[in-house]
Amino acid sequence: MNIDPPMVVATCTRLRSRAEDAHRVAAEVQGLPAVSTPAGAFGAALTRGVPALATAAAGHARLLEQTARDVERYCHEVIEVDAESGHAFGGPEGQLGGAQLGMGGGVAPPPEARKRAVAGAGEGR
Amino acid sequence: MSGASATRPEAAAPGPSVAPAPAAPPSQGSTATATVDGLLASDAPGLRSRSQNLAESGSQLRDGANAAREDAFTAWDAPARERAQHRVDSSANQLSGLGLSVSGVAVVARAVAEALSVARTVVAAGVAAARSAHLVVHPNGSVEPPPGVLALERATSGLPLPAYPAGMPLFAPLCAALSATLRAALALVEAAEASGAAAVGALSAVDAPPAPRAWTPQRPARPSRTVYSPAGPVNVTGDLRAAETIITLVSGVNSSDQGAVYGTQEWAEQLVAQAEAEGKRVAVVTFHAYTAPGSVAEAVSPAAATQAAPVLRQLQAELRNVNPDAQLHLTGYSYGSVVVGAAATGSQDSTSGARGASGGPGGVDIRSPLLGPAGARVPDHGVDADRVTFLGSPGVQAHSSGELDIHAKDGNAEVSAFRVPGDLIGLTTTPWLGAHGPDPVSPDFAPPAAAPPGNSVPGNSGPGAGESSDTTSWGRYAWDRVVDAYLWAHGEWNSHSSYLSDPEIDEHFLGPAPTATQQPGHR
Repeated sequence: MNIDPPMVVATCTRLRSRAEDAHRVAAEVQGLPAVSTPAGAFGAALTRGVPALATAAAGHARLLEQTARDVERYCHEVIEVDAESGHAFGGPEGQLGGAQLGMGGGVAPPPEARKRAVAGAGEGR
Repeated sequence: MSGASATRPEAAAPGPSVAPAPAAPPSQGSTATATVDGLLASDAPGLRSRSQNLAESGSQLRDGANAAREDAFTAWDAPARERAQHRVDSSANQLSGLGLSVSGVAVVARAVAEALSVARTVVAAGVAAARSAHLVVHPNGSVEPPPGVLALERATSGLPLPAYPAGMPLFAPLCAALSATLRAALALVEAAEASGAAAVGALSAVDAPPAPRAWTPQRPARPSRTVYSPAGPVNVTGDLRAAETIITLVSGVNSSDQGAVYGTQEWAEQLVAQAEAEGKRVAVVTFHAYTAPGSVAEAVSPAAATQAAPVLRQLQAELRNVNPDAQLHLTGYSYGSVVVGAAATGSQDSTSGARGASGGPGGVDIRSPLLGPAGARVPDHGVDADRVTFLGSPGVQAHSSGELDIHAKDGNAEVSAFRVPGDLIGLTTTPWLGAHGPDPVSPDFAPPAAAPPGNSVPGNSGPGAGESSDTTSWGRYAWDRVVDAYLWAHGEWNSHSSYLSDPEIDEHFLGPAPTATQQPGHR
């Protein structure tokens, strides 16, 4: 396995931001007031259909956010494992997949430095 | 995600579906009528403004989703990275499609607003003209002479208007002209609303996505074992005898490669571990006991599916024999769905008997038990399963779900088909014909029984299939193809590989994610 957790966590932070944006847009769509039309059919279709789309968008935004959080958590677990072992990046998968290397393939920064970097990226700084 | 689902009697008789068809959307066949006062009071500018809001929101959703798709996990090189990326892409593709749908609703709303605006202008002018002539305008648009003239008409025993006294003959043609104009305007509004409502109904016929369930990219420590059948490996994960559900996954092109075998095994281990964590007893069998096509070109031929079908039928019979109480969920992925279709439409005679009693296709002795001592009775025709699912299918060698001979415990097999947005497999099949048969996600393939409202697939599986297919289903099917084209144009070419990482597919296999209080061991 070859993974640079801080960079992956930074990607996750961007993804979470995208998910929040999608949530916001979905909420805006959800909040649009109903429109009545003379025959009523189109207004009813809008009243029914637009919230359905907004709900689905919010749901998929949640799934995107969840994936980003899961990957973030995974990266933190990788860091924890390495902080204890003092070895380069790796984790359960690394034991199966091959070389346990950080980006650059060689000397990794001290575990504490990496943990700080991950925490910073995770907080969206 | 495009989807179709059906529950049908086992006998494949041309009977009705088991469950009642979903109620037609209220917008379908609506008898709502517009009135003059209603039209004059309508807010076309407001609708136009709403259209603008929706257009901006749709654009924002699409832009955000496209950006998310580009946020690739480049600093990560491992199998888990691929699964994580597929999950991100899955959500992003869905958001792109929803953004496009919101934009589509905006376009429709704009068109209806313009129709309303034109009609309102016409009606306002007509009403003004009528009132200036002291004519009476009725809500339905008909225009009549003033009450005094009507009284005169009654007094003259209902003589026609041209017989009015001098000075009044102009009322007749004026009333007729104004009535025709107002009614035409109201008819325009009703037509615009009805077609607009149908379009919005199709655009918004979407399923609510599943609730997120915890997921880990890393491989859980779940053992699986391999049964080396004469035709290739069959991996078993979980306890077959204790399982409530046994899922059989049949993969497609290139699935005979060792990497693919490892990949499906890893998926099975994750799924079983997830099920265990949720207190569910699930076993997964990954079927690689056939020589899968090595390329898309080879996959045009049904030969590999024909070869695999008897082995799969035997496997399913053995699974039923091993655990008669378990629900058998047979899933064909990509070309694997052709294999499942071949198993469900073929018979022992047609798929193996012709090749001699001493061995099956390719010299494989399909009588060899895969899962233990022999004893399973392989049905003469069709395949043992309670649920059949097709993922990213190019066709299943059947024109409808009714042609699939599926032996369910209770006689009611459920057939489902899914296609993720942007799946290139959609280029290989159509609702009428395809590389291996009509598109299983098309509305005509499956009856509507178990389909969710958004993906309802009316049309019986037997004769007359499609006669009752409704506008919303076909509209949604057509719109999904538009979304596919949009995603292809934006560089999404790999979604066919994403099914086993898709949260919606997880839910299809495992059911809804438990809430926190439902988690085993929750305190």
